[in-house]
Amino acid sequence: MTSILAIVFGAIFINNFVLSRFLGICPFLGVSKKVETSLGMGMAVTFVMGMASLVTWLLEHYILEEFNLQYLRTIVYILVIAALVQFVELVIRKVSPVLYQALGIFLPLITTNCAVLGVALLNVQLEYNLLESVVFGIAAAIGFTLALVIMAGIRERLELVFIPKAMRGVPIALIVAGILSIAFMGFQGMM
Amino acid sequence: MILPAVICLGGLGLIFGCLLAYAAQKFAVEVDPKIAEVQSVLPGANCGACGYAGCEQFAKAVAAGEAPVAGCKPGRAKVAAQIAEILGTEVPKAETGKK
Repeated sequence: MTSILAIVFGAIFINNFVLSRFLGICPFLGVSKKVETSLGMGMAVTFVMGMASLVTWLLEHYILEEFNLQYLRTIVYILVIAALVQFVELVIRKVSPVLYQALGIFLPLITTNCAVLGVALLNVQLEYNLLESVVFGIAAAIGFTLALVIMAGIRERLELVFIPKAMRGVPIALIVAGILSIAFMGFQGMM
Repeated sequence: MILPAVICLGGLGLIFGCLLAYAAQKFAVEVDPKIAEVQSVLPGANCGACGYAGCEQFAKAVAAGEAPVAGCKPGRAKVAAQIAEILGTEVPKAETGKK
């Protein structure tokens, strides 16, 4: 039980995927203009990461290891992630056309989001069991969502204040991201 | 050595493909085929002269009967006639004359 808690806490705060491991930066800057959109993106990524952890663990232990095919790991994992993302896209398009339009190109781009492949590969590297893998995947996605929502909250506030012309848009966003990352470094000493 | 790899990857691809095909049917969004047809004859410049955000929104409105057939200003009478043909209506005379 303690190890599960440690995994959850570690994945969300100490080794936050976006702010400490620097994985999944593209949607972090791309979909963090509004809190609502970033929450939607976070939920989509949470589903994909959780399911990807589950499916890739099963494939790794029951197919790849069985037939000594570990060298196919990367391509098999990408296949799994791509299929999951396609499924999520179908569902969101049906359930929430507004969110579908707001996410735009970033929805299919979850496929190439290195955070998702990162979780799957880290699960193997850290030798987690099935439960730990799924928990790690979901916790990492929650950490990703947390980073996105914090960023979106700050950027919504930034719309209302005066910013020097040269700093508007991407430059200020990058500076904010850097400061956020430094803030999350404060968690490193906790464990 | 290569055979299990091919079977494994091909098999996984096949399974995922079948599941996705099933999901695609289950979650199919019904889109009026006229929208795509109308959009294909529009200039596609997303100029906004029709009063809609872009050609896609204009195509949706025309297909729903909310926007006039001759609403696409850059497209002139030619596009208006093509849209009217797709929708099975006629271009109103007053609107074609000057555009």
